[in-house]
Amino acid sequence: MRLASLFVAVLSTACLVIGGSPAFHGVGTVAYADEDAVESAQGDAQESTIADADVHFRDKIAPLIAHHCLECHDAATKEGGLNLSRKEAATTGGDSGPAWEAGDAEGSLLWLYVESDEMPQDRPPLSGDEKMLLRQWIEAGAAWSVENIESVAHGRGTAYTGIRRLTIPEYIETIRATVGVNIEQDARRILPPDLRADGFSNTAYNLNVDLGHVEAYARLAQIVVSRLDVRTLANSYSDRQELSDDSLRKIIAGAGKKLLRGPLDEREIAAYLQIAKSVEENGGDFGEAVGYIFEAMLQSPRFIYHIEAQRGDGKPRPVDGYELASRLSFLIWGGPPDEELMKAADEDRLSDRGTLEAQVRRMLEDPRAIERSEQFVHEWLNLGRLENLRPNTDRFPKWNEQLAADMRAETLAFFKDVAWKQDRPLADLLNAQVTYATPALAEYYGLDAAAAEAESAAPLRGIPRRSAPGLEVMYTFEEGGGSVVRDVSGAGEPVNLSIADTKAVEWGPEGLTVGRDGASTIIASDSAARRLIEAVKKSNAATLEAWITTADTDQSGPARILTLSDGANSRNFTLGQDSSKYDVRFRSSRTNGNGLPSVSSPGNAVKKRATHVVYTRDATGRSKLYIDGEQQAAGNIDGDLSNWDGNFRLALANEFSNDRPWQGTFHQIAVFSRALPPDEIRSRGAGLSRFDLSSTPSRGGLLTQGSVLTVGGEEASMVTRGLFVLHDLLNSAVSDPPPCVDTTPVPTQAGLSQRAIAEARLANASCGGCHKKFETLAFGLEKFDGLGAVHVVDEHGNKLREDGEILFPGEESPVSYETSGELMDLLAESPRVQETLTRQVVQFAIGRQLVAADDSIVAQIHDTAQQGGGTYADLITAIVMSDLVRMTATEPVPQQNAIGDGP
Amino acid sequence: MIPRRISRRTMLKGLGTTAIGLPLMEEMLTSTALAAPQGAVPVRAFNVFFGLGIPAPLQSEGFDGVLEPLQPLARKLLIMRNVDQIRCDESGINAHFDGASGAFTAEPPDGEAKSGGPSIDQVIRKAHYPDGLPSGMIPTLVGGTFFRRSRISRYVHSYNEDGTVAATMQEKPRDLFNRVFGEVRRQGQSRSVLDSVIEQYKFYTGSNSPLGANSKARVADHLDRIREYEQRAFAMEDKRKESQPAPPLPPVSPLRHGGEADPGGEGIDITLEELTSEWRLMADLYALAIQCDRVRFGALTFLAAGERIRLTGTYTYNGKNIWEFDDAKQLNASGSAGCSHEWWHQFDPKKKNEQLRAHAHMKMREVAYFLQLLDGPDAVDPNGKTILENSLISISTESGDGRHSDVKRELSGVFHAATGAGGRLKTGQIMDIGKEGLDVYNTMLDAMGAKRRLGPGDRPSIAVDGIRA
Repeated sequence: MRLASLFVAVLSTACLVIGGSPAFHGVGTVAYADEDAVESAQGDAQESTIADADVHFRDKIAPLIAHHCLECHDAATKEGGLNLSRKEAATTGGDSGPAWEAGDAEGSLLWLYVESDEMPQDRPPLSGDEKMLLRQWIEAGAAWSVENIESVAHGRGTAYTGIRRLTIPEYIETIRATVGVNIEQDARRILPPDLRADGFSNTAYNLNVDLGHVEAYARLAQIVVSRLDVRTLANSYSDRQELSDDSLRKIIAGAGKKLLRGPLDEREIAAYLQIAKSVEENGGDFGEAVGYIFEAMLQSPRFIYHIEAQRGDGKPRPVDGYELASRLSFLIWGGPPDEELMKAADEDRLSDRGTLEAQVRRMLEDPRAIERSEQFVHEWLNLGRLENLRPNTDRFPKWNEQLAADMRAETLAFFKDVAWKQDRPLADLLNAQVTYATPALAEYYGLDAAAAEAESAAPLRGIPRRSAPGLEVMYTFEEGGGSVVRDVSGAGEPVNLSIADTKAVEWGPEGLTVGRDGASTIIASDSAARRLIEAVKKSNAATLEAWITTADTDQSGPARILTLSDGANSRNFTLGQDSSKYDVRFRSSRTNGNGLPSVSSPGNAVKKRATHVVYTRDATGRSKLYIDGEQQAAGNIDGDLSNWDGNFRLALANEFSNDRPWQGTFHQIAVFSRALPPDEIRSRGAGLSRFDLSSTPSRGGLLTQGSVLTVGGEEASMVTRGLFVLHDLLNSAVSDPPPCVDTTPVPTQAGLSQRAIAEARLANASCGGCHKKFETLAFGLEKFDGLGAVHVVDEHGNKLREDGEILFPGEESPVSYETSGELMDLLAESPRVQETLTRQVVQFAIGRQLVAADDSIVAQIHDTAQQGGGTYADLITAIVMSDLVRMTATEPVPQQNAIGDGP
Repeated sequence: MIPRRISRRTMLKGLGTTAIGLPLMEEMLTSTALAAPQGAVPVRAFNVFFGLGIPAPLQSEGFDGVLEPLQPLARKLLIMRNVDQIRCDESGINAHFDGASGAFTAEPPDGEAKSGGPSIDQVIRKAHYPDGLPSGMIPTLVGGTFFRRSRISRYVHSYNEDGTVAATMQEKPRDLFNRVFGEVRRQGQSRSVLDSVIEQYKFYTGSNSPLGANSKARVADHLDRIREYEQRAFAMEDKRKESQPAPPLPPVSPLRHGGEADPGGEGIDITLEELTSEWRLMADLYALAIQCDRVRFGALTFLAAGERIRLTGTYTYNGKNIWEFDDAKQLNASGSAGCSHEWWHQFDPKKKNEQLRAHAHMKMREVAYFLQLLDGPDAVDPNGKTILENSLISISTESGDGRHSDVKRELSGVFHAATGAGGRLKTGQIMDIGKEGLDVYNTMLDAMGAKRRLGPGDRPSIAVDGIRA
């Protein structure tokens, strides 16, 4: 195989990541930064012979040796003094001398032992084919191309080379970013779920399509178009709204370029024009025609899939500007290119490294980059698993479903803090002495509530709140853009709100901030909130809930946070800020039309931080105002609600008279047709607080969080936890258990702790060889039970420990640690852990499992990222700047199809 | 309560618990049934998988042991023992997953949702329908009742040529019903929009497509689904207008599905009645789909590889009390340690293994339930033989042992059975094969007229002639 074709092979496994690429059976280890190097390589036949042997070793011989030999002959075990895991040690040999003589199989101990089935000892012998491979390798010179074969040996599949369709989050984000419609609820309800494979649910080969997808794409396209102002959208591409070819061509070309992430060719434009012609023939109008055209585009393969040109001369090529723009945006944002990226593609500037780097820097400052990184963490640690935990309630009486949600929120908030706010190296996720917890989780963990940082409380954004009875409207402000705030309560016809002046607001990861540059606006329903009004009137009770952060503790009026009214003096209710107080006016048959007298909090209740404000009025008229879960005021609003006006609209951030603006950030707003009890209010308001763990040595880092500790099951299995660390943090594996070993888990009992059981396994000659490679990794977690609570003794009274030793894969000797904190430090400092984190991010970024052919390029990415500081941003930058993203393979056009005959 | 069996007859009369508007139903039937020449028997192949396996020593007891429920069908089955799946071993994983991936493919996994090669049903499908199945027919139907799902290959058992799953798993009876018989409503979608979409997909599968071979194959698969959508949403629209209001769909499943069904790998509590009610409804619907010639290829799963359930309930067979299931209590453990999976861990040929025997016996009863649906009066083909006799139905599992302690023991002696495939394979025998599963599968493929062979290209194929009629 020529080196150039090896390069093709590397890229073939890389590019489909993001686009499509042909199937190549060869694989290579060398990747080049530019085409010159490729051309240079093409002429060097001698090198390609060497590379052939190197690749053969990596793909065939290394896995064979690792599978059959390393159990006894790795760096740690080294039976007979022979270490076959590392190049230098393997070529040196063991106590009996060199393991092989290059070119002479019959003179090689390795061959003689294997050929006679003396090795592997007490294990199945090599098959005839395997023996033949080994012999041929020795005869051919025994080229050893991989420094450490231990990590390439286990479970490495072949690279999938087909195109990848959009995942559900990508679909949602693409719709939002291109046409400003939030389709999340519908898409998640209608589309079949993307299932997790090889650690992530964006694994390309598993993103197949069934009838349900086709139905869903058709239905969703209709919903999207129904929510569009088609004529206004069309107007941005053509002034003339008529069924003429000229006008329609402009619209198709303009909108198509945005929706389909690149220019359309004549064939495509003609196909979409055909839709308009059909509409015209059937008596339809311009709006109908354009709507149908958009529907068709939203179901096109160019929309549904990451499509790139894969045909060519069989040689790798740089991806073109539009392809690169798409690769970049989906990798960093999980969505399509924005106008600036498309402009750079139009001007063919993305091929310039400086421009590309500048774009990456710009994109990493966008909140979408954070959201994308959270998707990575969610997938990597399989946080969705937490929703399904149902532990034995007798054994874990303190467990409840909300704790699982809190644990998930903890890990995501922790990641954001370390990776983004503090911009620390990714490896610090293993030992950062900080975490986030709700009051309930803090109590469960045994954290001192007083240690919570006072200014850090924030609502659990992004965490599904279980729908509660009586919930009538709810806004979570997760649209991320656009002019509509959607009612996500799911309670009947949604009461969506429109932002009157989008220039006055700013969308962000924390919600919607009103008052940008001092401007004010109103965010209001287009019509009367009749469903809400009727529900509250019927129950005679209500709850107004607001998760907000004020921008100004002096604003008054009261400044309207949430109002159901029609002007400054007439309302059904209003929650407002009156300088340092929160104030609620609630109309009843005993108040005036302005809802007075009001219920107000004491002064100094308004703080410039995320605050949970709740007002309740029960059917008897008893009214209460809670701030951050604590009741701050009470009063009686007697009477009934028969005088509520059914024509009032719902609004945020201002009064309908436009003279009572409120400035600040909306995190979440909800209205209920019942009075929530204090416990429920506290539970709903239980935001995350940041905890400094520097004086809490038992916790700190991902492995000490409930979200990860639960991987060990109810029994807190050291085997399972140890294997998690081995696989997911150290990129290693062990072989299957040997014959005749009972693998039934041994239960703990008085005098027999998990540690004692594990130590017995380690002492067992049949088990210890492998178990010492992973089970000791979990010793430092022994004090954490199966659901993450800390204990000093187990349920039988056995004392629990946290000391142990860790044997890093490929190393000869273990390293001791006394505490779990020391274990976390060792992991964080381990190059092996750092490399594994890189591999996980790369896999998610490219959408497929890494294979042996990727090792070289991933190593380059890792080195570059580490030199930059090792942060998430450094790593993403290194991935984008690598040939993994900038180059693509091509597949030669089959001879018989060289002259196309049209579709 | 186990619901009344749903047959083609009751379906057509609209008397079952499931049905759709009759004209539409009849249209579906005629559109596909008439696709075959009058009197011809279509080629069909299905894979039936059951979880956790049968230890080889128990297989040797024949119909006197856990295989007893298969005895009524013995004349129409070839039961194969001592079939080796050793090549499916993937170091560092576990034999549940490896073995499950190897069932019907004889290849180790190539990912958590990918096998190393195609399954036998798909090879036969491609061989006999290279240009696709008759219009409107479901290309491949994959269904099952199962709960363990950490890796997709634990429960999906039909794979494409490239090893990816051949169809989306239908795990709720209602979903399977909808996939096969359900109405697809166009909901106002314009014909011109659909035509445009089809043209776009055709372009990317055509000779001017810029895509590589694998990508084109995927787009072609998508186009097939669009064609099916077109057939069901548009072509049948007129028929739908004439149809009566649809009788009720299958009841909503009371069981957990999706991620909820596998809470952290710790297993679920389930009664025998809950389990078999759901499974039998699923089996009824799957069999009905075959009887109605809506489906000719696919896979059906009764419990996943490495299944973790804590089963309770009285198990009877032929009016005889066999066992009182109460896994957690009998294991004196909760969570995964209280699941039936532990009986396989504890298997010891020198002991009674009563619990394991009861579970395995029950699985055979339920597999037999499905097979019998294809052997009754509703399942007679034009040649006078039943679908069971005319089709290749392969039955297999993941493991021959289950102790996780010896790959050779776990992946050797894996239980296999097959139907006669229209007289192509021997039946009425229990046969000791002593060969690799790969050779068994390739012999089956040869018998079915498929030229493609599974396994490495450079490996000589060893015919297992003894299984051929």
